[in-house]
Amino acid sequence: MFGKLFILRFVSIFVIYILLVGHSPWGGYQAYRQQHLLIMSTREDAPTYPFSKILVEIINQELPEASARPARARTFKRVQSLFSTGQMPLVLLSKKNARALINGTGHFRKYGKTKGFVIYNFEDLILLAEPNFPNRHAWQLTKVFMDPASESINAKSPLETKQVTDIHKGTLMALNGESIPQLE
Amino acid sequence: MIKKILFAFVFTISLSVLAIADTTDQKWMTKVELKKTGAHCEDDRNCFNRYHPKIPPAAKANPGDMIILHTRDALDTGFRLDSTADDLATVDLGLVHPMTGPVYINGAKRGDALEVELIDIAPDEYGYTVIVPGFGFLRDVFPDPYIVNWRLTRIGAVSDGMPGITVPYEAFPGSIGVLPGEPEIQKWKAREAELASAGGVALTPSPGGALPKKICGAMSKYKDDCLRTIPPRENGGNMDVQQQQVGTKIIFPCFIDGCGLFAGDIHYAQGDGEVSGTAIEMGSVVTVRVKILPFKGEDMDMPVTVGNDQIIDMEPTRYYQTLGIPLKAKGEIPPSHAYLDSGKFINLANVSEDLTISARHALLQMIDYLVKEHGLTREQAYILCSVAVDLRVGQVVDVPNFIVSAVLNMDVFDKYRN
Repeated sequence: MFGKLFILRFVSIFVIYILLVGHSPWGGYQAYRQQHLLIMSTREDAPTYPFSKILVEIINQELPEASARPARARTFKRVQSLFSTGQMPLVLLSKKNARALINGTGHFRKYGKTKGFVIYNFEDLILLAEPNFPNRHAWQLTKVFMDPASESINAKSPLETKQVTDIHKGTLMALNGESIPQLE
Repeated sequence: MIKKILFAFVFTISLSVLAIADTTDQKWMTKVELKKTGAHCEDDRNCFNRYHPKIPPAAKANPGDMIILHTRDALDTGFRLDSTADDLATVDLGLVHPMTGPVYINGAKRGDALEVELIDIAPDEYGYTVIVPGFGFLRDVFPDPYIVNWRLTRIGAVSDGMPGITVPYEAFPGSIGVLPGEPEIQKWKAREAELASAGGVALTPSPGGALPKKICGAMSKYKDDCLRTIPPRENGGNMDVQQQQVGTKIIFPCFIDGCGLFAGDIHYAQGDGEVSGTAIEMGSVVTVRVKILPFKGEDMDMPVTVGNDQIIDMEPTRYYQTLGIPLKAKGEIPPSHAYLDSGKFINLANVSEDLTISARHALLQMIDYLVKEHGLTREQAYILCSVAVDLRVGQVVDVPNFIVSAVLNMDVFDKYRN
């Protein structure tokens, strides 16, 4: 699914990134977050962590290069902090909490509004991407969830449900049958 | 009948008077106690995670007072007994290390030294040891997150993630020290910036997560001068020296009036080397007592430790020891040496007079031993090395092969314990 050009570009960016952050003892930690497609969940939204593990399994079957892994945050506060600063590109939340994150209400009242876009729905859970999540990656993830095999996890196209926020552009491209976009 | 009732009444009253008069009510200590005032460091007026002389004292104490510090774990996490490696990716490393204090010591001046006697360390019930990606001595060999959750008592630490093993209680402060003065801030910042520009490992000031926010946060005047707590420096701090146990006295040079004593990042147990990057990390209640040594700080380069009354014998009698000499694979550059950019180094299998490579050699052999002979996974073995294996310098004369040994106290295995 990934082209040679993509892999070459990814490796180049990764090497440059490592060199840039190499002077810090945390460099490798940040690199770990870059190396894996981390699906963030939180202890405070109980269904999200077990479901993130199911998503990771499905993603890794179809997109092994993504090397997806679950990442569980302690609190809603940590979720907002990591997501709004782009340190975690994806977060899985229940609809109520996803809406609160976007609107700066409920558990997220203290932190203000946060930008995010819908990738896909899973009954009461929503996978959101941070604004800089590449269209190409959103397109690829969406294709995984559009696959009939994902029906078992009640994957629902965001076009078929009422949304808490805008749909990611890459997801729309996949849903509209457009070809995979280049990496911006 | 009335006599009987009266007798019973008088007897009961006498018993209760006797109970009040036991030994517990006898007191001699003057205590200065810094308790936690919130769930995490940012909610706690007695907690900070950067070094700067402008950080205001949380309390004042006199020499001889019992100073009681309620401390937090090194990463200020919410880890629990059911935490997994999936919890590690979301840790905010900007919060490292939460320190309790600072305590202003009445009468202490810049140029004095402060003798800090460790009186007691009471452990929390829970501790953890982790592999943080990119951190630790073998960070190139162990790139993935891993966690072991420990149940703690003063007898030993046990874990479902490390069956058959009990790590003895040998607590000490991973971090303890005094605040730097303004001249020290500028001097240390300059030398660390030089190292960073040469490609070395240095962590320059960063306001993300910095506490107290008023002094060190992103909007603060001093944000670029608040030093990170990772490297130990002349003020002590994150020394991670396990010999600094209860009963020892650590002497620090004072850089500001009042010294600004602090402690945190308490370790339940740690091997010399702390190779995975973490010991058995825990919250605790630490009690210390201080003495001012007038003008002694002027002659000090670094803190010193004086041992005499320590209550724990740390030398094992039953042990397994591996020996390391500076050998490596041709073409290999361990992360510790990457910044040197030496063409000579990469092509050598035997390097000269290098204790870091010797330590790596000894440690890798110990991990192999634990995997082959005791059935541990490589991650479990690395964690056990971090909390119970001591790296020791054997000799620094037999060129080119200086020796570092790795010593495991075999009593950590339940099958060898009494």
